[in-house]
Amino acid sequence: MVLAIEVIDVSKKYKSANEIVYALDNVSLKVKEGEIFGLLGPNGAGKTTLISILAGILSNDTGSAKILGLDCVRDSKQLQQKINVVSGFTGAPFTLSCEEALMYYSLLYNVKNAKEKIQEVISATQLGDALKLPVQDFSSGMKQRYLIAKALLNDPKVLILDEPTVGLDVESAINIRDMVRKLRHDGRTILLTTHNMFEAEELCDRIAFINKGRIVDVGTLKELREKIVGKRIIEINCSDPKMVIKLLKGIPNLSLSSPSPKLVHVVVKSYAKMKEILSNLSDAKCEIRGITALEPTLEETYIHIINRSKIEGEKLE
Amino acid sequence: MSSLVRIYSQVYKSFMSLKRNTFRLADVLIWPMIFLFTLTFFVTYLGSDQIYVNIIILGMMGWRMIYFPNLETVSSFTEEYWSKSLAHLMISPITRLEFAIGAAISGFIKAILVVIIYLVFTSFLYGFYIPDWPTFLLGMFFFAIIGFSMGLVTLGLGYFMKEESFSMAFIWPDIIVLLSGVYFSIESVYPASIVPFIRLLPSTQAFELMKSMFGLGHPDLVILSVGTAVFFLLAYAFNTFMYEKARKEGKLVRLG
Repeated sequence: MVLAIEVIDVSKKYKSANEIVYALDNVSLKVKEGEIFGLLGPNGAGKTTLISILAGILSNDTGSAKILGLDCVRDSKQLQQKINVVSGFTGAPFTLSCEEALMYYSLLYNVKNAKEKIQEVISATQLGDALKLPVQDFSSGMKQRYLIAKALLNDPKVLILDEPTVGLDVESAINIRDMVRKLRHDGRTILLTTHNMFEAEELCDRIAFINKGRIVDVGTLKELREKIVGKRIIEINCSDPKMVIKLLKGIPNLSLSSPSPKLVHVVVKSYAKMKEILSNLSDAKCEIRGITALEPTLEETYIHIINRSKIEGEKLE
Repeated sequence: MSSLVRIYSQVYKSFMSLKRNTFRLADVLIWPMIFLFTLTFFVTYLGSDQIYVNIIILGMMGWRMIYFPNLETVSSFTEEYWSKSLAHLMISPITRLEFAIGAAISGFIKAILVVIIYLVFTSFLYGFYIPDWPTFLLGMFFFAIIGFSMGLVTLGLGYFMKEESFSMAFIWPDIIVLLSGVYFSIESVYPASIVPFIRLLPSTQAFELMKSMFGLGHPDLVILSVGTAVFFLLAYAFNTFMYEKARKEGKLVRLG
């Protein structure tokens, strides 16, 4: 497994009034090359602190943070040539036009054949019509596309996207998400922070939940869901719920209910029961319109894991 | 080579933004002329000797050579802060020194432009000329290094003071004007007990060097050279210390 980002036991503390606050508390995580890795957590969880350390503008107190094998603090300038960051909260320099601003960043990153590269990123982000306009006059969606264009100038191997769709309308957000997928397709590693669970669910290969400076869980969406779900719900859409319940009653360890006149919910411990359920349903003399395995959404998973971490944190304290 | 390109990035940014920024443009083309004529009109109104007009003009030129590199270093930083793009600068491969040199070069170019405008206008209006070009250029060189060093200090303060450091960029040159005797002889103004200390300032010696072209100053080239070098090294060390402290305490993150 080739690692793009490796964070080992990183801590960062701040003095706040009379107490010491841990913004990061022994955080460890590994991001594989070429994956989209989501970092999710409530405000003040430590996401920005971790991103700032990775971007080289904040030094960690303990542990080590490396991207592409380079230390994020000690080798920051060497590393910054190979990575880039898109943040939904940043702007563009002064009154420069889009073209001038991109030329400015091309110089900062010493981009070879800058004019051609600018054309390339402009085309990828569909900003061709706005090239001569001042970036500060851009709409939020255009600004985000400009930021992505800027971040692609140095062909970064690792991209950090800090809430890239914050404040965007639906259409712009869809465009940005499409762009992110394409970036991954091009082989880039992406670290994404977002409060938009749908976005994380749509884009991320793996997700880490962070709360109070600690990583509370890491895994694929499937793994995370499995961790929280002790039981699974199968939803049967049928014309006669009473009949379906009667047919399934014989199967041990099932919990049956009918939440609406056309639905039956079957609560099982695992999907292993599915074969038996289907077999019994084949005898049904009513119409079966559909059978769906109800998965918890990422939002439900997130709330469960974050709440669990709060309870565990309180116990520790 | 890549270092030179990154240094050039700051010059590019400065002059591109100058195109659409009336305030920055006035800083180069309008205010220096207003300052110049305010003082020269006053001196000629008093009926002073031509030599005092010359000292005023030379003082204005030297002061501009200090003022612009210092101001440009700070404004290049604070304008990125104001436009919320400072984070992009900080996460780019440009080093602090490359940034400061690039910004200061923009300042030098502007200062040279102003000096040329001064030369043209004052030669036409007052018959002003540079009597000793090597001395003049040497003085300008020292002013530029002093201005650059002041910019490094102000930038160091900027990591903590954010846009507040912008006012420091204006305060510094004014203190220099007052202490270094830009338009007057320090011996004739300050108590004799203080004068030896004021003469230790490299800026004082640089202005003495300028005045010496008209037989008024008494520069000490050793103090000027060593003092300027020491000031530069201290300024760079201060900037480094403040940057590392800001990076450790999370101040840089809050700037972006």
